[in-house]
Amino acid sequence: MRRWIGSLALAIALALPASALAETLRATSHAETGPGSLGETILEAGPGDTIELGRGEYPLTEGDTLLAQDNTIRGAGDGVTSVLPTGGGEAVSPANVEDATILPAANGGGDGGAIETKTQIFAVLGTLAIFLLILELVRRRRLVERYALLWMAAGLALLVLSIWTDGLDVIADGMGVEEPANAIFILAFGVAFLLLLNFSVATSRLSEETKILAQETARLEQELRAARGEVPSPNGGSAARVAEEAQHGGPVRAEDDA
Amino acid sequence: MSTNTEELKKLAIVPAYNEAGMVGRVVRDVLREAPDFDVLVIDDGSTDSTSAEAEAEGAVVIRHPYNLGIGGAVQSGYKYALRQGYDVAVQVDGDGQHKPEYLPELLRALHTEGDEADMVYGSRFRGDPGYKVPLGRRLGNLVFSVVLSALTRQRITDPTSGFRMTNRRGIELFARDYPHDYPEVEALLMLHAHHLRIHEVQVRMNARGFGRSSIDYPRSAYYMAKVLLALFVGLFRRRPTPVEATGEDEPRVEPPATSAQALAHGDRARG
Repeated sequence: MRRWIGSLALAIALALPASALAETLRATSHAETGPGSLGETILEAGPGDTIELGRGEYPLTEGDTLLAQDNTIRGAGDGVTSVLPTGGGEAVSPANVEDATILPAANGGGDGGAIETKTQIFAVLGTLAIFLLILELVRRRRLVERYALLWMAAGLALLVLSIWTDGLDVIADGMGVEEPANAIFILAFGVAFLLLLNFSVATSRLSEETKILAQETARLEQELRAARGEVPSPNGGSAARVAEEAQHGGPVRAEDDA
Repeated sequence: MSTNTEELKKLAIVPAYNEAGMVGRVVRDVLREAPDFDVLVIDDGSTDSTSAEAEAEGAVVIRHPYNLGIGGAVQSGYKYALRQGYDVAVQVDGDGQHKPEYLPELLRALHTEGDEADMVYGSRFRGDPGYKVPLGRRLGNLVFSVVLSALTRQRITDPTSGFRMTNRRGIELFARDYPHDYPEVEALLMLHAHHLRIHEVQVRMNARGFGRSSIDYPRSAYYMAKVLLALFVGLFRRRPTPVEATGEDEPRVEPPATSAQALAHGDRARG
């Protein structure tokens, strides 16, 4: 009990004058990652700490920790030191940066769009290719419309999600998935699973139908042969045959009858 | 109903898949031991002389264009029995495992018990099976036996036995619906679900002649799982109305008129 109070007191003591106790660290590397890099230094820093930078450009991928710990980045002067966001912009807010320039995000778009745009183009092209393939298969009568529609619906869903990324974010949020890309994978897997299940159902039905067909053709073939008199008739007197057999003391061969 | 079984039309259904050298003997034995039975051999896509051999012994032969498996073969036989108006049908394996000398006894059980039984089957495990049943098979049988006995609330000692004789109601049921592979156990549950009564007769069987055993080792796990799943699902399946309630005497298979219509229709659709 005493210990517990003791540690609580200590925690309060530490937390209250956090800014007063704040340390100053220094990033020594201009690399994006690794020891001494800005990112690494932020990770080492405690809440409220200040990170000093020398001259030049310092890349920073994730600004999350910076915000969460309310660290301050202090450069050697505006225009002398610069911070380059490389992981998509907003994390490095001007409020946390003194005496340094925040460069426009390395990947251009400010919204961190370049990679996503590429992905989008790829997704759109891919989906279009799939659509064309499906249409061509339908045109050649290699694919029944029902399944074509199924696949096109799946393709369309992918297309929509790859263009309308906000929607994907919403869905990812709703699913509790942090990374929208994972959400789309999960969705795609689910859709593929359902499609395959659907085909198993279709295959089962087909096998039942072919079974009936095989039974029917076999029956018809038998009836046809019977009608032609090639084989013993269905209700042929097997009793008589056996009686005859008993007389002859052996099996009567079909050839004998013919 | 009459116990005069001589007036009844009786059919022995012999499913056979590559049983040349054996099936002829089975047909001959059935005709000798039970002369009032017609014999129908279902040649389930054999690549040997099974059908020729069976025909030579005087059996009617239905030749499947390819192998449908035991379920499809047996059902083919029941469909034939239904169409040809048979009153009694019995399954006799084409591999010589079932002894035709029990046919009269099965027939008696089917009809002399005050028509209590719609299906009578020969059980190996009511007494001494007469040959050494492999351990794995015995164990599997025990599991099915326990489960099925609980489900049907009657003692079923040999649920995997395919040596079964049924009356018109059973023929109608099986012609309409029969399980695919490893059908025996599931078929029993179907009978029970349709309130058809099952009766056991103690028989001895031959060890399988030669060739195929429908269950070899790697498949037995699948067999167990498949049948148990089928039993479980069967509990939740709504069976169609019991056979006697449908009043359907004619086979469900399309009568010729309908087929002709279908053809005409197809022509029109095409033209």
